[in-house]
Amino acid sequence: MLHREHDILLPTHAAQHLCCRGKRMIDFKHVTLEYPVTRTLALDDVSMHVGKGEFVYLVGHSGAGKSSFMNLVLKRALPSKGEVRVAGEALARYRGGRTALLRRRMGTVFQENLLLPHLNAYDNVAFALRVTGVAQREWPSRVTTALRTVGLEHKKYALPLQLSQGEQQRVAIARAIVSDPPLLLADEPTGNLDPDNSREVLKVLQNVNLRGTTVVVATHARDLVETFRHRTLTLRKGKLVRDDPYGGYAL
Amino acid sequence: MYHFRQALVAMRGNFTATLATLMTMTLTLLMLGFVLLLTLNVNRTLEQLESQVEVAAFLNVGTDGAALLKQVQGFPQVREAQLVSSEQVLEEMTRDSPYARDAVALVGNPFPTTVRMRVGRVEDSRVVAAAVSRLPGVQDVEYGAGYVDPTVRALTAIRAAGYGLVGLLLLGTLFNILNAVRVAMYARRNEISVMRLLGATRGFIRMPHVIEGVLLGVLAGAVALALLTPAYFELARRVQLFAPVFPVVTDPAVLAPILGGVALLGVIIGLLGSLFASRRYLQELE
Repeated sequence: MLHREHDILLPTHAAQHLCCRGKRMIDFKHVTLEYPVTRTLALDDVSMHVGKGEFVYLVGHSGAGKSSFMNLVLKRALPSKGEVRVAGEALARYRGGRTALLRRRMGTVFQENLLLPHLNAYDNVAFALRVTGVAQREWPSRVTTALRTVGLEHKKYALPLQLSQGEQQRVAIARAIVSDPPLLLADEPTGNLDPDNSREVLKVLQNVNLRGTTVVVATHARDLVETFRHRTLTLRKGKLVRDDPYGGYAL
Repeated sequence: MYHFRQALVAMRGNFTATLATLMTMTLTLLMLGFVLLLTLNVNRTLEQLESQVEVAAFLNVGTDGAALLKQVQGFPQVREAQLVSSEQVLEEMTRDSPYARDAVALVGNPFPTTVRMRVGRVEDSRVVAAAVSRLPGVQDVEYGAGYVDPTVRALTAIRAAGYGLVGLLLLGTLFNILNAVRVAMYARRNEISVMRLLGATRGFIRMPHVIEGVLLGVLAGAVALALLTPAYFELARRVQLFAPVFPVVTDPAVLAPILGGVALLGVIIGLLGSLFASRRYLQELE
């Protein structure tokens, strides 16, 4: 159920449900991450898993290891010890150019929305399809669907500067989900937003989750974690100190 | 089309770096073309020299000329050899300067029997002359050392200096391209980081910059040819006019591969430089 585009295997909508062996989307086994230059221990023997279709918060103070966790899943960093698996596959298997294949299976949203300023909302979202070699005839329907999901279909011709911070972040979410990735990683997605916009973004992420996408949100926003309750993993000084299936912010 | 457009955007965005690279590349290709054309003409001149240079061995009276001729014909550098009797030499000399006959009337035939040899390469004439001079019965050897050696030395030195200069310029051009591509990629760093997060392949990210390198090569090649071709033909016309002794090459069939090669080299340098620079930039990001 995979189709070939520019020599890269892309999951089709139907294939996404078959892409993950077992029920675990993210699996950490005794993972330690030490940054070699500063010898900072970012993660210390962390073992956990995130199930397919789950919505999980990752909370902790600055330097607790939230971004390191994200970097490991994105393969922007390599574990010093232990093993990281995504969708049942060890990330060590993805080397060199194959890292791109891995990243096509996950959407990413950051505190900085990283939208391209010279492209309007539609083109920013379509950019994700362009760089992964999706046929151009598929763009209109997929981009429109993604923008509709984040409630911005009516602003598709607006440039990022003409959108509010919250709207920009929603465009970034649309870009992250337009390829229908089975996993969405959001690192402090509400960090730059006021409470209203933050709630709006969280609602969008929940909607994405309801479509079957696994969502992991690293955040500081206590009120959001308390309001929209989901499983919450708490990190402290690189250690996983709490895994609360019913949520709640307890540092 | 997208990559091509991105390449043009990158070139326009870093106009100064692009222009500097283009100028260096054009200059290098011009120099290279000049040196190659010079070499072609130097080789042609050397060929002419080779066809004219002769090693002459003057034999002692009573030497068995035929045996010596057989001996020198055995030398691998000798293309052809001929035994000329003293009478034949006298005949030639009196044909060229009629007063020689008067001199002969006074002192007799002063010209010795001679073995004349033509060598395969002009550089070999000295070796053959030295070898023949050591043979018994050879009184003296002449091979135009006065002009062959300095000419060969000068032409070889010119060729070597030209190649050295072109080598340095090629290296300079390569560094310029590396720099231009690096600047272009740095200017696109946000876009590149987004691309990487979205799962773009390295090939996709590098493509606009590779196109940029090739475009620079094509442009530099075209400008170099547009300047070099008319300049060469004008120079050739003047040399033929003022120094017809030099056999200047003007045959388009001979010149076309050289000029085409210069343009092609521009494209190859652009391609290699951009491939290397873009790969290195992405490796640094990993």
